[in-house]
Parts: sequence; C-alpha cells; structure tokens
Amino acid sequence: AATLRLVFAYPLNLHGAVSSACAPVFLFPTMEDYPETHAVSDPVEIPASRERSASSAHNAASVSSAFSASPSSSSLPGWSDSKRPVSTPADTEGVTGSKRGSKRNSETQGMAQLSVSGDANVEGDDGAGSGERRSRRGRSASASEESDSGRSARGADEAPRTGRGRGARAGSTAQQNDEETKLTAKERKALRKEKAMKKASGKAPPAKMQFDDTKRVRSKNKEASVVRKRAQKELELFAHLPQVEHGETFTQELPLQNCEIHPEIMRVGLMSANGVLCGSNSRTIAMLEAFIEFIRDFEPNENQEFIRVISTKLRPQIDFLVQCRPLAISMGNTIYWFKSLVSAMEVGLPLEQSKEELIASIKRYIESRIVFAESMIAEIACQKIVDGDVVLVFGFSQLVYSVLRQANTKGIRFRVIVVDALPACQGRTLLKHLCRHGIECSYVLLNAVSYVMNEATKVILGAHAMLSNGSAIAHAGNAAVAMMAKEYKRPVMMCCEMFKFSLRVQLDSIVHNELGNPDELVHSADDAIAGWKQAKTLRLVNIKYDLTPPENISMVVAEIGVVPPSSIPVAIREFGKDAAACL
Amino acid sequence: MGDSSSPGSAASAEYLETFQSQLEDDTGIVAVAAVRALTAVLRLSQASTIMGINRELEEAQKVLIGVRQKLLQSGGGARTRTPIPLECACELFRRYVTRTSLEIPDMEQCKTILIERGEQFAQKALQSRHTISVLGQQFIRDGMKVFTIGKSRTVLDVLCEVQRRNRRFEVIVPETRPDELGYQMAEELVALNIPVKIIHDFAVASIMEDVDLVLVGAEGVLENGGIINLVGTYSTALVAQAMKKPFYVAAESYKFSRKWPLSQQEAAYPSRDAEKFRPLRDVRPASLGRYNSCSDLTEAAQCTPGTDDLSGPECIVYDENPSYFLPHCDMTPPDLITLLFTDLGVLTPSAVSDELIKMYA
Repeated sequence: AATLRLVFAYPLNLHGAVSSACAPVFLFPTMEDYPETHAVSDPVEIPASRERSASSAHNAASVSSAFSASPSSSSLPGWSDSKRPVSTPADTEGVTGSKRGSKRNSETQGMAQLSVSGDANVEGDDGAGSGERRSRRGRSASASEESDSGRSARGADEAPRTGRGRGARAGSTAQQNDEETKLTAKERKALRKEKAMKKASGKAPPAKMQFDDTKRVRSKNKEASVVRKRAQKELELFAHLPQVEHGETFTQELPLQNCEIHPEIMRVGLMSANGVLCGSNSRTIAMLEAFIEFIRDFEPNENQEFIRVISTKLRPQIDFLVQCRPLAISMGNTIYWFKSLVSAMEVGLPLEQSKEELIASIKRYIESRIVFAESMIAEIACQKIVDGDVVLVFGFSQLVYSVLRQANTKGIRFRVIVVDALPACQGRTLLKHLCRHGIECSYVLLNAVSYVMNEATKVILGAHAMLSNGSAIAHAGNAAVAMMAKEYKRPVMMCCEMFKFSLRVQLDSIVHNELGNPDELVHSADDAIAGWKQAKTLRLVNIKYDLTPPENISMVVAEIGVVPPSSIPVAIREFGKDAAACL
Repeated sequence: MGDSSSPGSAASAEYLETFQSQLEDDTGIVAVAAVRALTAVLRLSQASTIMGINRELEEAQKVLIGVRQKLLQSGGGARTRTPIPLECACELFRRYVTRTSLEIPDMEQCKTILIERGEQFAQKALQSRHTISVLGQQFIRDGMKVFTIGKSRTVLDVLCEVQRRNRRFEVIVPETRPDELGYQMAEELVALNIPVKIIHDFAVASIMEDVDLVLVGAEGVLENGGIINLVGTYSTALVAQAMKKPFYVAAESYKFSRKWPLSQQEAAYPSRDAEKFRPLRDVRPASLGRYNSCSDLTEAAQCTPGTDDLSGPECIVYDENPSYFLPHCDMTPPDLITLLFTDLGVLTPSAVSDELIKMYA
C-alpha cells in the first residue's frame, strides 16, 4: 500500500490557539489511491473525536493524536510527521485535490456521526481553503507542537474508549456503503468535480492587484511584453492605481517580426492609449473584434487543443491592452464571459469549426448585449420623456444620445440642457449631434449646474458600470449632477446595459479609478500651470471616473426595463450570470 | 366592442357577461373576475397561433378596462377607484401566457394548461387576502392604535384577524370626503366590535403623535416599491415619516405592475369628472365679469370690494374660475413605505422589483 498522506488543517488565530468556530478538517487520500475503502485507517476513531472536536477547541489537538495513537492506524505516520507542513506547491495541489476527495470518502465510509456534525464538516471544508494556508504556517509554530504533543497522551486514552462504543454502529454502515462506493466510483468522481467547481465559484476571488504592491507589480511586469514607464510625478493618494507617463512610445522594443502581440490588438491598444478610442461600448466592441481577428489567425501547435489553449494564448494580448489603458469594467465582464464560453465549448471539434463557433458567439454577444441593448434602452427610456420636458444630460454617453435621438424621432417636444466638464469637453460632441437633429439645446459647464437644475424636469445620465449596491460608476462629474438633481428633487435616470453590471461594490471613488493624462488639464503653452512638471510642489490630477451613490439615482434603465438601483444584483442573478464578473 | 367578425363579438359579449357576473359576486375581486374573463376568451378563442391569442387577449383587456372606467366614472359602487388592479392582473396573465407559450409550443396543450392555470390563479387570488391577514396581524400588538385610510378589504381582513386573536386595539380613520369612505370603513369595523375613531381629513397630522402604525391598502404597487392608492395616502405617508411612525401597505401580488410614474401628475388617474362633481358651494358670482366690466377706477371703487385685485388687467376672462383638482389617487414613493404585506411574504420596497423581475423574467 502506498503511504498515506495525512494532512491536518485547522485554522489558528493569532495566538496559535485553535479557533473553535471551525472544526478541523481531515484530509484523506483520494479514491484513486485507494479504490478499496477499507484500506484506510479505522474509521471508528474519527467520528468520536470529530464530534468532540466540533464542540470544543481543546479536542482538536486530541483528534490528531487519536489518529496517531490508535493502534489500528499504525500505518499512518506519527503525529510528528503529519505536523510537518506540506512544503511544495505541487503537494498542495494534490492535497487540495485529496481534500475534496476525502470529503466524499468520509461520507461514503458510513461515518454516521459525520452526518450529525455534517454542517461542521462543510464549514470546516470551506474554511480549509484559507485555513489550510494559515494552518501550514501555524503548524510549524512551536507553540502548537508543544500543546499537541502534550495533549496526545490524554487523547490516546479517551479516543479508543468512545470509539469502541460507536464502532459497532459505524462498522455496519461502513460495510453497507462499501458496496455502494465500489459501484459508483466513476459517478462519484464526476460529482466530486462538480462540487469542486461549485466550491471554486463560492470561494472569494483573489484580491485585485494594487499598484503599490511592489512585489506583485514586479512579477507582473516580468511576464508582460511591454511595460509602460511610470509617471515622473506620482500622486501618493492614488499610489494603488497605475500612473504612467503619457505620450511616451512604449511599443518600440516590440520586435517587428514574430511579435507576440497581434497587430489588431496592438491597434486597439494604441488607439485606447491615445484617447482616439473612447467610450466603454466602442472599446468593448473594438476589443471583441480584435479577438475575432486573433482567433482567426491563431494556429495551435500539433499537440495543442485549440479550445484548451486559446484562453491562455489570449492572456498576453489582454495584458498588452491593460498596459495601454486599464480595462473598463464592461471589458472585464466581457473577458470573463469569453472565458466561461470557451470552457463550455466542446473539445475535439475540428479547428475551423471551433473557430467559427467562437467567432459566431462573439458576434452574437456584440449584437445582443451591446447593439440591441442600446436600442431597447432607447425605446424604454424615451417612454419616460413627455411633451414639454427639459432633459438635463452630462457629457457624452452613447446611450443617452440614442435615447434623445429616439425621443426626437417619435416626435416628442422637449429640449435639452447639456452640462459639460473639462478637460474632456465631450458635451460639445453631444451638442453637435443634437443640433444636427434639430433638438433645442442649451450648454453650460459643470459649475453652473445649480443654476440650470431648477429648469430641468428630469436628468438622464449614462453609466460606465453599475455596482452591486446600486452605485454607478460614470465619468467624473456625473456624481455632482446626480447630487444636485436629488437636491432639487428631479428624477435621475441612469441608462446602462446589463453587460456593464458588476458584482463589485465600491464605497468611494478613490478605491478604484483611472488616472488620465495630466497634460490634458493644461490649455495652452502660456497657461499658468503649463510648467507643472518643473514646479516642485505642483501635481495635476486627471481623474476619469466617479461614484454616484444609489440614493441619488431614481431609476436604472436596462434592457429588462426600468428597475430601481437596488435591483442590480437581482438582474445579475436572473439574467447576467455569464456576464457579471466577480471583480 | 370592437370585432366585426361574428365569433369575435360573440366571444366579447360572453366574456363581458362573465366579468359582470363575477363582479356582482360578493367576493368580487376585480383581478379574479378579470382572469376568469380572460380565461373564457382563451377557451372561446379560435385563433390558430399564439400571436392571435395574444392579440385577442390584448383587445379583451382594453374592453374590460373600458367597461371598468365607465363604471367608475358613473360613480357606480365600484370598490376600487381605478382600473389599475384590473390592468395589473391582465398584464400578469398575458405575460404568463407568453411565457407558457414559449415553453410549450403545442397550441392545444398550451391552451389547456393556460385555462387550468387561470383557474389556479383565481383560486390563489382568493386565498391571498387570507395569507396577508395572517402575515399582517403580527405587527399589531395589544394596545396599539392603527391609522388607516379609505375602505380597503385587505386592511379589513388584517384587522379582522387581529380581532380574532383577541387583541385590544383601536382604529383611527379620516372621513375621506367626498366619498365618505371613512364612514363606510367605520361601519364595517363597528360591526366587528373594533373601537373606531373618525377624524377630519386634515386632522391627520394632529392625531399622528397618538398613532402607533399606519396600515393602508393599495390599488397598484409600482416597480420601485411605491404604491398608488386613494388620494390622501401620500400626505399621510409624509406625516408618518415626519413623526417616525411605521407605514405599512397590505397588497396582493397581482397588484404588482411595472409602471413607474415619475410625478404625481403621471400617477394620478383621470380625475373625477369635474362636471359630475358636486362642490359644497357654488362660488361663482351671479353675473360674471362684474369687475371686468368697470370702465374706470372710480366706478370700480364703488363695486363691492372682493378679494380680486382691481388693479389687474381688465380684459382677462378666465375660462373656468374656480377650477378643481380632483384626483382619485396619488402615488406614495418607496422611501416613505416601511414594509409591504403581500401573499409572497413581508417585503421591503426594494424586494418588489425583485419579485417583479422574477415574475416577468
């Protein structure tokens, strides 16, 4: 028989004491190692000690000792061996795999008591992911070792006594389930995989990279094909966000031939970096179309399966795009959708067919989630505009423009107040388009919004993304307009497609944002702040987005209709499982 | 009544009859009557496609609403003031028809299931008030003073349930002129041996400090969790919020609608017919334009001084003076509502949208 790898995991708090909240988790070898379940150590000991450990913290250590001390588990390594932390990462993988296997194992071995403390088992298992890491650190601490060895003697006495009592019952059910387990090994493997996936989805996603985390930044830059130069004058408040030197050519060191980055991706990236391509819808569509070209041109090696490999091959392309300009939240959602699409696709199809399917899916996504959604939202929102309305809008949003255009086509008599903000001055673009349609417009800058808000009857804004608590991320200035509208009790309609709904929550605008080119704030060469780079105490901040809290938003217009901002997670739950990313 | 083709009009006549007869019925819930009428339309329908059925249902809905509005405007003993519950129930049923037709492509099977479900819906609707009364009674404890407006049978059921559990409580109702619904409600409550206090409509704010909670019904529940209810609900809700009293709404789930009016004007249903409305007094002077016909100021000075500003322009003639604002209903926004008692459970206003998205998904 192969050696039993037994790893003990229980979460330790700072003082090394076992936290009573989580029951210890027992890790057994996987089914593949031991097709016959009775090869594992006597199951009798475990339920007894497990039940006691579920109730009190002290017995946690005694459980382990019960393992080592019981005569039937002589094949197990002693307590000192199992205390040694699993050092190699490869081992960890095996361990986590076996952890899941063990859960099923233990259940089918007829540990009746486990079903009693079944809840504890589940909690322990879920906590094991993080607990395991902590426990590995903790186990190497001397304090725990001492206490464990100290208690082992005690535990050895207690365990067999109670174990025998329960042994008879457990033994009989164990025999029963043995037959079951022999028969359904394959099905159980499939079930285990399913559980692993479910658990993986329930796990918290890894923490997002903060740019003041030097270690992570360094490791990320090592794999990147290009790295943008960091800004000369960095802002401390936004140290966690990428601050790059704008206007520098950063693609010079990329080779002309056999470049890793696909030319279409490079085009999209450079256009985003220069601000030629702006607006999250355009950027998402451009990115998806570049992906389509990439998929068309991608040739996997002989031994590589296209579906298995496409996601990994796409990663350096996405990293390049991120270096050019941080991805919009909608682009993140789209990539998440793409990855889940790829993982759901059939493996083993001919290359051309796989490619065509993938490309068709992407085109359908663009059609339904972006283009069609825009027309649906325009239709729904313009039902809210009546004759005589004065609509206040901010900046330029593709959606808001569609709404106004649709309302105009329907013949509704309304006028528009366009509020604009420097440095982008996108409102001027909107103004040009609206005047072309013959809509009566006024134009003010953000500082005058308190003057014009009285005139307005409703406010229509476009969001860059909607968060799970109902807040909206939009271009800087939207929050102020919404706040002013609330003050004057004007309804605020936030237009947003569902692919921009995110499961994230943010409480302020600083936690996550994007910093643009500070030079945009300088109007001309003889501006007072033109020499900001040389001025020692002057730093320019060009923040792109801000956060509108849900109290200031009256309603959100999405493809599903008009919903209150509190219904964003409901919409994600019902419609957008594939499109909403966790972070 | 629409259809020129004879099967159509025969069907219309029949379902209208069904509708009227259901309403005459003592437990005449409009929604139940409407769904039964629409189920009858389904049964009689000779359309061969789902779209045809949908079109017929849409027309039937229009006819039903027309009938209802006529009934309301003639002031007939209509229990609900607006066709909103009728509209909501019809929308829900039609939405359900569409969903089922997408799941079951076979027409005949689809129809059978829809007719069956229509009947189930009617049964559930009849049960819903009971569910609400059981849920709502736990909020009214011994010794509480409950404030309610108008005559809502749902609220009546809740209060009845509380009385049944032998708790002592008092109900305060405003008169609700000119319909005097307050008196009708008081009548019902006295018959149930519940102590009632009737107040003037404007004494709401004065009495609110004594009140423990406010419980009202609803004509319709809006997507954002707000409600449309008889006029006066909004003011009561504002006063309750100012005095920090909980404001509860008892509404069945078939009253949930996807409407979202942005202002009171949008929400207010067609007002009472100003001509049919009998004001308490006719304030118009015997000869109109008495002041306007004075040619100079000295003559005007000899006129009996009134409230009119004599220095104003003389040539203005007002079409309708005085004019009246006689809304049936007003809209109460969700931030004034604490909880809603529905047959789907006790919901917060933001959960209404959750339920609606689930229903309409």
